[in-house]
Amino acid sequence: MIQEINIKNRLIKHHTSNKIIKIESNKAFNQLSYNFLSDLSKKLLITKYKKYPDIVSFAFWCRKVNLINYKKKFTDNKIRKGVGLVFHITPSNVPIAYAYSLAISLLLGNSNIIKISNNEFSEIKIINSIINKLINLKKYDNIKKTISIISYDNHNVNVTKEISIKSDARIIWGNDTTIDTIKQFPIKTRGVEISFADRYSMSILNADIIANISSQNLKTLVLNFYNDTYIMNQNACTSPHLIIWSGKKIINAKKIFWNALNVFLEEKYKLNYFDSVNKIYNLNKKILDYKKNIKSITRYSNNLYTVDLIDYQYNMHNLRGSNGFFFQLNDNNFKKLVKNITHKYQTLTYFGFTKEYLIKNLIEKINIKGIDRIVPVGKALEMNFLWDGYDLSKNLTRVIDVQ
Amino acid sequence: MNLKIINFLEKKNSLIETSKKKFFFQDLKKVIKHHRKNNQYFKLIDNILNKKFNNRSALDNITFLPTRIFKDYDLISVKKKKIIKKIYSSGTNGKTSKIYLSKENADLQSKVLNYNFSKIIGLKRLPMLIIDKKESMTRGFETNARGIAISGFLKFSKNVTFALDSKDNLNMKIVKEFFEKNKNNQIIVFGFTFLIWDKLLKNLIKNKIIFNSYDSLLLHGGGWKKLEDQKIHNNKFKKIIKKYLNIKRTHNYYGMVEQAGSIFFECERGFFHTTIFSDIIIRDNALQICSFKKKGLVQLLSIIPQSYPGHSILSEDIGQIIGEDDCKCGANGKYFKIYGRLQKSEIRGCSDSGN
Repeated sequence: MIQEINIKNRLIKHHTSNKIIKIESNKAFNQLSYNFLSDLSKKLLITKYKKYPDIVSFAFWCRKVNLINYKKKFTDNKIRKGVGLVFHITPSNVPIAYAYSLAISLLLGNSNIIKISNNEFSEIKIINSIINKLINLKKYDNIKKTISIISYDNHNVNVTKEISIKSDARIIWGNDTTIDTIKQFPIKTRGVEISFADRYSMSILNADIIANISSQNLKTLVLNFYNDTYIMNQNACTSPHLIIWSGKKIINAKKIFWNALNVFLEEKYKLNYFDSVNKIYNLNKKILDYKKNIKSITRYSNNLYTVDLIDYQYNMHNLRGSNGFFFQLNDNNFKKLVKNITHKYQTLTYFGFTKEYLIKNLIEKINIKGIDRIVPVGKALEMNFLWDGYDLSKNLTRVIDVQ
Repeated sequence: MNLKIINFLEKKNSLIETSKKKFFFQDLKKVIKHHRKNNQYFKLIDNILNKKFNNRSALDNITFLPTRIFKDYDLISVKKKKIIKKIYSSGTNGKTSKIYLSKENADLQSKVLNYNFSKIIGLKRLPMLIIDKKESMTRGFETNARGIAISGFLKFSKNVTFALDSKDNLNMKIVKEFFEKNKNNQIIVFGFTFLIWDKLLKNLIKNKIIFNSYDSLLLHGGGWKKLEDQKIHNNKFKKIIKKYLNIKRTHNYYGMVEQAGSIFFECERGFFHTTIFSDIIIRDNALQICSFKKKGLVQLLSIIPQSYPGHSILSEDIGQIIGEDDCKCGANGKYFKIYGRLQKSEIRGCSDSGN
């Protein structure tokens, strides 16, 4: 029996042509999905799209060689197939996220319905147009039949409800309220629920290393930090908002690092009016809300604000900036950090520490849920099959036990 | 507070226009000092931001508050018991600004409005037709921007007629009577731009009614957004008013509820003018001060706000200063244009106008 879901509905805007989606459970890391993603990568890696750094990093990510590396890393000796229909509800503030969500699930053998934001992001338009070109090729006919990219107003909850009930897995990207609202609508009884909730991320920087850094290494560090933060205007939940400095030469290191970043931004980054106004408003709001915990504020330029805090505080994860607005703390050997971790903390990027040091002084000392990723500065946005504490290669597949 | 400009104003000293530059800044500094002394929030923000905004031109050293901050916080610079009025802005997306007025501040608003008004109209009190309803004029502790504007303006009229009934519909009979009675008198028509269009003009056009008036004028303010959605711009608006009301002098005014009183009237050349009580700065997308003729974010300065720190505000409007003291209309001050609320799509820096 062919399983399918009909998503013809006047409330839905279709970004791909198919309205009846075949529900399939294909082999994980199957050849067709490889070929498709690798073609997508090639088409995105042309000069025209170089000005969209998030498209470029996505295209790099889904190069064949990279995907094959993932296969090596994530396949076990079991027979794995997709769970079936995966319903992706993707974020409205990070345009590129939908592409990763789709690519991973497709690679793992699933059929996909992807709800994208109503905001008309150029990145989304570009990627969609190429996906559409590819799926209309005969060789990708089966992909065409198994994916659908749609958008609809969030208040049309009935659409969410109807798709959810037929879904074998649902991935929700959003804040806690969004996720709780969507979760009111059940998925299939045996369905898998994956929630990429709003999380808080930070950086730990070794001041003593930065204080004596070579100009070449400083350049690389600044570029990596920029890629983690400014590319998504700090909207990605993996972008750091809090910078923790450890070492003896903190004052010096801060000066070196922030000034270098500020100079780099002069050329590279330009805020629009809207974001500038939001940023200065947010600064005022943070001053009023957290005045007791603010030591000082530096406005290097409109591109870069830093707020020095006196100490960790309750609900630290509300201390967020955007478009280059960071909070910072001094904390030698993370003695205070380990006591202040909460479940809200997701990614920790680091510079100037060894993995072993971090495991010993940080990971092994934390005994509550919190921090799911520790990656070097520069890799905050790098999508992986391990994401937000989930191993998607396992969560979006099922094992067939043959004895 | 002892402000030089206000003292001059009270003595009806004609020197004030020419001495503006000298005294405005001195007065503004006094106002800032007052807020620093009496508003711990403002002091904190000023301390933190001013250090960093330093070493530039004097105007740039004045800390501004983004307009939205008045939506989140009750900002007051006098003892709470001195507050006699709370004004709400007409919030477009849910949250409204809250402005707290002391008696002194309210009186100062009237004085300044009176002065600005007389510059346009003269000192004679004229019959006024208000395109609004009586009920908009709230008298209690709380009021909104509409209420404060009406109560502010009607002080300068001889007798007032409200054109709308309590359900916001035009009472044509009353309007007809008003024009009949005053056909040989100078009159003032006043109201919110959208209400004048939606309630009065559309009605006259539809029913082909034309009123006659003698050497009269129309004052309106409150934003163009809804009219521009219907493709009605300032020139067309003026033409319709001339045709249906025979009013040749139409003055738009621009201002914010945070700086009620020191509003900006449009001159006969179609530009808004700063007065001796106010100033304007245009900032680019990096919040740097733009030179004249560049478009950018509007920052407004006023010496009136004293019971709340509203003397320097970064608005979310886009504007452009055309020049200073050389407008062909003859009036002094910086003269400028406003292009409406900032759109999300606006990403240009200080862009040159006219292209």
